Order: sequence, then C-alpha cells, then structure tokens
Amino acid sequence: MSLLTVENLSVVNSPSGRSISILRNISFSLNSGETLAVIGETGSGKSMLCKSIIGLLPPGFSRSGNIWYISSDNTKISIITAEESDLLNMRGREIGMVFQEAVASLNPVVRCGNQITDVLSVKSKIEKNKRKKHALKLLETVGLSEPERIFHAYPHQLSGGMTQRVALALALAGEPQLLIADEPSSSLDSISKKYYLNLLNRLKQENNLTLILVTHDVDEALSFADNILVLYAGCMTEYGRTGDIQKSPAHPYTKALLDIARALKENNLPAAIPGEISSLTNPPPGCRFHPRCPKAQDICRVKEPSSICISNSHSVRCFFLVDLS
Amino acid sequence: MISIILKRVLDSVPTIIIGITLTFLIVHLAPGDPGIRFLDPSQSPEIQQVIQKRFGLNEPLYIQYWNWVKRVLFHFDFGNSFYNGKPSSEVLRSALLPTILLAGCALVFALITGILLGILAAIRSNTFTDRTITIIMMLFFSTPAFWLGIMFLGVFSIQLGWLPSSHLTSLYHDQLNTIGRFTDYIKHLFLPVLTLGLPLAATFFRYIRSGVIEALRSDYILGARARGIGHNKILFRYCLKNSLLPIISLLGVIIPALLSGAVIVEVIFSLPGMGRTMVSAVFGRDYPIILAASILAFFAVVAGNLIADITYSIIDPRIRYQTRKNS
Repeated sequence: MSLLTVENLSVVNSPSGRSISILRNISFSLNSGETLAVIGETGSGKSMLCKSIIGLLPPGFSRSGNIWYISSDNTKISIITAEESDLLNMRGREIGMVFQEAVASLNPVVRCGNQITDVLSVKSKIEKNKRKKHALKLLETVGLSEPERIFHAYPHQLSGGMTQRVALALALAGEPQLLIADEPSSSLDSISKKYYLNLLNRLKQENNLTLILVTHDVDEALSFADNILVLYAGCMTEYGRTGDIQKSPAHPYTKALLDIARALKENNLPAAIPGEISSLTNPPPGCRFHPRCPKAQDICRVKEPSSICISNSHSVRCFFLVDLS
Repeated sequence: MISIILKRVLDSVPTIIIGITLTFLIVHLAPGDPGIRFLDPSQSPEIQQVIQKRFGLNEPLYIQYWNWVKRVLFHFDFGNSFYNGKPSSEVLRSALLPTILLAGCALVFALITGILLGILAAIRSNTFTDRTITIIMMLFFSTPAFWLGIMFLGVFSIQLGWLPSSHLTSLYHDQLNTIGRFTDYIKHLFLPVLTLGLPLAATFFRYIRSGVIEALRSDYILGARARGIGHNKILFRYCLKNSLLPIISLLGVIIPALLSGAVIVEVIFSLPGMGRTMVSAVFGRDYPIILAASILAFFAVVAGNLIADITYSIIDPRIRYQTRKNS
C-alpha cells in the first residue's frame, strides 16, 4: 500500500495579486520502504515539493490538489486539509525532514544534544532522565564517533559533515516512517557525501524508512532510488521506476540529464543543455521545456502536454516521446 | 572567562583616565569661579583671594589637577563640597539610592514591556494589533523625556491628582509601616519610571519585534518546526534567545543613556538623585562634586559595557568561541 500519495499537487505564490505557479499538477505515490528521488535543476521546485508535503510552505504560498498519508496507526490523513495541530503532531513523529544547509537548520545558541532532547521531549515517551542516553545513542547511530562531545557542542563548533549527521539524528529522533532529505549531501565533499549516503541507506534498511531524496546528482538518484521524479520549472516531466527511466527515458529533458551523468561518469565533457531554466515568474507558454528542447515543434509552444502513461508506473509529459520501443 | 574580564577591565583604564582629565579641564575652563560665586560683589578682592586660596583655586591648573589626582589616588579623598563642606562621597551616597531605584525600575519596566509587546507585534506582524502597538511605541520613542514628564505631571498629578508630583517619599513617610512605605515609594516613582522607561521600552520593542520576525523566518526555526517542536517552545526557546542578542549589546549604550535621562527626569520630578545633584553642582561650579559624580558615571558606563559583553558571551556561544580564538 502507498504510504504517500500525491495527486495533482499545485503550489501557487500570490504576492500582490499576481499568481506565480511554483508547482503544477504533481502526482506520484510512494510505497512504504521505498525511496523516491526527486531530481531537477536549481529552481525546479524540489524544495517546495518537500515543504508542501510536510506542510511548511512559507506564508503567501497556497496548495491545491491532494496529499494522502497513511499514518503509523493506519489512518488516512489528507495533509492539505489537516489542522495545524495534527500536522504539528505528525512532524517529527510521522514525517521527518533533513535540510540542505544542516548548520542553518540547527539553533545556533542551543547545544546539539539539547536540541535532540527537545525533540525527544515532545516526540517520544522516553522518560526525562533517559533522554540524554537516548540522544547519545542516536548520535552514535548516525555514525558520530564521539557522541558525548557532540552532545555538548554548539553547531558552529562542528564540521559540515558532522552537522549534517546531527540534523539527521534530529530528524530521526521522533522515529518517523517517512524521511524527506532535501539535498542532504550537496554541501558535503565527495568523500563525506559517499559516507553520508551509505549511512542513509543503512538507516533506511534498519528502521524500515520510506525516503524522499531530493538531489541534483542524477547518478546518486540512479544508484539509490526505487523511483525517480524529474521536475523541470515546477512541472513534472517524467516519473517512473528507476530501471525504466534509466533504460528508456521518455522525455528529452530526462534523456539530456542522463546523457550528462553518463558522460561525467566516463570522464567525458558532457554536452550542456542549451539555455537556462525558465523563470517561474514568467514561464514560457506551452511546455515549459520547449525553449531548450531539441525536439520542440509548434505544438509545444502553444499547448501544455498532459501526462501520458507509458506503463503502470511510468508517466511522462511530452508530445514527442524520445523512445517508445 | 576570567582572563577576558580582566582584559576588558584593563582596557577600560585609559578610557576612565582620559575621561576624568577632560572633565577636569572642561569644568575648570567653564566661566564662573566658585570662589567669587559665594561672595557679595561688593566684598574686597582680598577676601576673594582668601577664599580662592582656601579651595586651592589660586594655583595653576596643572598643579590643581595634580593635587586632586594625588588626593584621589593616595587618600581616596574626592574633596569636600564647596557649598556645604560635606565630603563628596557622602553627598553622592545619599543621591545614589534614588537614581539606582529610578534607573533600575525604568530598565526592568522597559525590558518587560519592550520584550512582551515586541513578541506580540512580531507574531501578529502586519495586522491591526501590530500596527497599533508599533505606532504607539514610535510615539514614545520620538517623544523627548522632558515633554513626556511634564505631560504626565500635568495630567496625573495636577489635573487628576492621582499621583504625587515630586520627591521620592511623602512627608509622613517615616510614620508608615513597611507596606505603607513600599506603596509610598511606588506612588512617587510611578511617573518618573514611566517617563524614563517608555522611550527605552520603545527602543527595546523595535529590536525585539524585528529580531523575532527575522528569527521566525530563519532556517533554524523552519528546522525546529519540521521536527514538530511546539509553537510556544519555538517562540521562547528558539526565537527569543536569538533576538535578545542585539538588546544585550544595546545595554552597554543604554546605561549611560539611562543616567543622562535620569538627570532630566530627576529635575522634573524633584527627585533627590545623582542627576539633580550633578545639575546643581554644575550650576554652582562645585568642582569636587562634579568630578566625583563624573568618575562614578564613567565607572557605570564601563561596567555597563563589561556586563553587556559578558552576558552576550554567555548567551551566544559563538562570541565566546571567537574571543577565545582571538586572545
């Protein structure tokens, strides 16, 4: 059964009467224990997708569509219509989130350990005198070798990799079913990144976590995820099982991304996608990718493609599929 | 931490020395001679000279300065008042209590009002509540203390007759029991504290409001919310602690401002405090009192800054870290 089902999710920001479409008609579902990778360029709406799932959009942003979530006691909750108090209850305990800038997401003037016990005090039934012990255990689980020192340290005293792990410990403190990791490794160097991803994978197996991994590293997504969702300028261009997408990418944008990833892996100079990502404030008419698309025809400039199901679990929004064999 | 404090104390020694020297010079350069002021203009110049000699005012300025420094450093004697012959320390000691009461109460009042209203305005930002509070606070912020004091006097003491208009205690204060004395103090201090405290509260309000609004938008608050930390905890443990930082660094500047504000308020409400003592000493060219009071004020400023720095480093661990790295 799907733990998370997103149906036609759209996010609109309306500053001073104008309405800017940040996300358009995003639909996907995520089974318990699986990993979904959300890939796309900067500004494609990946973070906004995460924030709408956890119900923390900034003021002035509104959501439409549906987000269904099956909580650990098997009730189906609509995140969009849920009361703030229910969402508050769910955050941390049902859905955890790790942010891109870990050090910024930690309170600079509270010791790391106390931030963990803060979460434990509201999200778990652990007695007060056992919280510290549990926090130390959590720090150890996320691969920190000196839990006692980290417990008493302030965020600025730790390295980037360490704060990222502390942030992970914080997200896991409430034992959530679903973990949203918003580009958790983008600020890490390549070695720490690899360690971090392995850790994430291990924790996922151990705790039977369902994971949404936001990344702009296509290779990371391919090796890590069960499903891949490709976003472009707030639109879902392609969604499917990792194997299907890797073998037969149907959208020109997905194909271009995969080509770049492959070239990088083979140490070749990749062919860049011409142009730059279209702005959300003034998006091009029709398919938002058409100004950069090698296959663009007249229809792409006028009409927005609707979602085409290639198979049960593979859908794409394009008039001219790259490869349908 | 102790080495930081010692370093800061040593740093402040030159400030105090330069400050006191300048005060000494300015006071003596001001026109008007205390020796002459006591005399009938018809008295003979010989008598004037006798008086000047008695106060040591006939010597050249640098010798006067040196004598004064010697007395202060080696005998801890700040000299006697030219007016009533009492030692400066005694005059100031009796004047210190009303000022400390006034300034202390005003500071506490301003902190409580400023912080509470600041938080309220920030969580209701851009609503009717926020705008109303902000406008009222801006009015107090831009109102000069002397005008505010006179208005309070006019309305609450003279028109309505609710509160006394002057002095720290009533005439019959000594006959009252403990509770009676306490309420007597409160009645007398109420208007002066408001006059001194409201503009200060408005200053704190501005910092807290913008600090809390900024903190609420920050990533660590978003992080805390994503972890499911409740609203009140976010506000007080996560937001307020961070938005208090500018207030603390402000305290170093606030303490001198409080002292100079107290001068005006004490004069308006005829409170027998440091401010009024200093004003009358300046008008009377009572050099020993002016100098002793200035030294006290310098120490208050230096201490204020020191306390601000220490509190800052206690609340914000990042500062502690940097100071340790630099030293």
